[in-house]
Amino acid sequence: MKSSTFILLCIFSFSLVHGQWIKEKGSGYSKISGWSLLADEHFTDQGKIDPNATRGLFISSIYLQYGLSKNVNFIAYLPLWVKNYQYAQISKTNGNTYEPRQVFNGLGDINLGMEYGLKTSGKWVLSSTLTLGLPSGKAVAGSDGSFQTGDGEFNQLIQLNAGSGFSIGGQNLYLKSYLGLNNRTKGFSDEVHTYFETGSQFLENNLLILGRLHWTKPLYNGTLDASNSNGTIFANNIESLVIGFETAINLGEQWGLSVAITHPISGKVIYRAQSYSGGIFFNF
Amino acid sequence: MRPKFILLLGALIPVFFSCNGVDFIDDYVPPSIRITTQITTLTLGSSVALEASYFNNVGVHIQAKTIEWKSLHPEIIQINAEGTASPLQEGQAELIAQTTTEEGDVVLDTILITVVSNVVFENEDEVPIDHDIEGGMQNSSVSPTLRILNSIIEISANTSYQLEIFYQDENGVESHPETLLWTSSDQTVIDVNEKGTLTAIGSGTATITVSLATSNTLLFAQNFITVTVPELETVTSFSGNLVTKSGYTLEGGFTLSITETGLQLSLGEDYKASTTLPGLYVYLSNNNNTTSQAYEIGPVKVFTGSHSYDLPSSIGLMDYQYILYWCKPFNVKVGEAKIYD
Repeated sequence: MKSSTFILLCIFSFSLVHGQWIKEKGSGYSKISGWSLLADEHFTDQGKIDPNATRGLFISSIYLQYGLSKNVNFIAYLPLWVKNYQYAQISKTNGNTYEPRQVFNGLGDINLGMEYGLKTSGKWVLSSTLTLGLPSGKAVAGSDGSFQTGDGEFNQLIQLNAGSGFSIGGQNLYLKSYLGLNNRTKGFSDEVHTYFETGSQFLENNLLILGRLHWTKPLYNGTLDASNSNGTIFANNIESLVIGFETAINLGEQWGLSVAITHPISGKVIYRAQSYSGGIFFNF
Repeated sequence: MRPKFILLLGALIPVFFSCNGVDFIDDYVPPSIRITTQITTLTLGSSVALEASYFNNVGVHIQAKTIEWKSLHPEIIQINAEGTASPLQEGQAELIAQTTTEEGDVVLDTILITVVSNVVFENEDEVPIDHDIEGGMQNSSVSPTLRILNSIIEISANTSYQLEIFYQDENGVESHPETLLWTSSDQTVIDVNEKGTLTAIGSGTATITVSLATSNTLLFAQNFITVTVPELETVTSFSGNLVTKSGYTLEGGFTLSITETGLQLSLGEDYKASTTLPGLYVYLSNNNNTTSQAYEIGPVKVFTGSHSYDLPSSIGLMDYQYILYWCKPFNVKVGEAKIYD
């Protein structure tokens, strides 16, 4: 049900706003953000919707993209504080507490990556990204092990990114997309990621509004399931189709705010709930 | 920039700490009383102490609850305030256990018991009037007769039976002499008193002899009887099917049965459960809406095919009404099976 991979990818996508193109050497983009999800439903392994105890996640993170050279960017996503919690479970009949509120705080899974500009000028720009998912979070946490802040595996996501600008009725828009393959370890299934994003700037380029669609599809080649993991399994064979919207506004020459919302349209083994995020970004 | 920045960071703090919500679990179940001594027959001359349990509106067993017992057919079975049922004659009787809930409602459970005879006649279709009779005469010119009218071939242990005799003297006059002598060949099996009342003690065989000495004759009659220890006919297992109550796969038949060492929950070959759930557990419960008062059997480690769980002897066959499959970490009901109605 809980899918740290899904969560982190949502955050990662959110963090990429304004970072869609290769940064020049010595320049960069960073964002300090908070991301929140509260779910009392989830998609089952058959894509059906079932209730669950209300669980929440709040992640405060730092995203950084920095131009190491003309064509190479360093990327880091640092979920410095992950708060995984569950509501208290109270009897509606007599008010007795069945389960007290539970909270686990910890570091999340860190992503480190390098992006290489394959084609940095022209109508279409192309780049490739290799992101390493480090198991810095806790894969077993809380009273029953389910308050995890990471999936405990080292994964490598390789992406081919494409972006282009175009105009409709005099309004400039952009489109960017990527196709990625996430190689997961420790028995988790590998995943294919498909991502589309389009947006446009308003108010003399001080306001950005965008929409995105992110499809994650497992290859079902993992061996991990409850029958071979002592009855416990998290975040394997996750499937999701997530739509999201975001707006970012420049409040200074080098900084601004952004807020975003995402909603899973369909999925398997993920929460069914909107996630909300907000952050402060800096260009330097 | 700095005041705005601090303001924004401050705005994030309430979000970060907003995790103090509550899930209210809809755990109401109708209060119920359950007769847990599931017998179907009683033997005349015996008695049994019935037991019943009361479960409140969240399925908790309230042990201190006062339970009233009634018989709807007191001419067949009498029952006292403690729940001890005593059969009086053959037939069927419905017994009731009832109590009053905390809300003032009366809840009851019933049990239908068939009372069977404690003796077996040689030929059930005929009224025995002359069995195992060996009338003896010595030096008599007429034929006085001594017979046992209702001889039997079998009697249940710990029950009693009254033998009746027929006596006709040498003048052809019927009477009931006071000088009859009743004896048993094995008093550890059957005891008999001076009135011809048998008391079956333990399993085995014994010959009951009744004799009468007249002025010139010694008459006697005998009845060869086997004493058996009837097993109380009780329910020893329940079977049914698991049914998914979620979007996850859960199916298959189950049997909950009494074994020599306790209870055993067996799942059949057709059992199948989803392997994608984190922390799937199996429980016994009296509330199918929560596992809070349930007995946790343990984590599910077999997801297809037959297997079983051995349960401690402290758990009775009727202590729980449901088998629950539950995703423990996320408090998700996966499926259930009703053990009995």
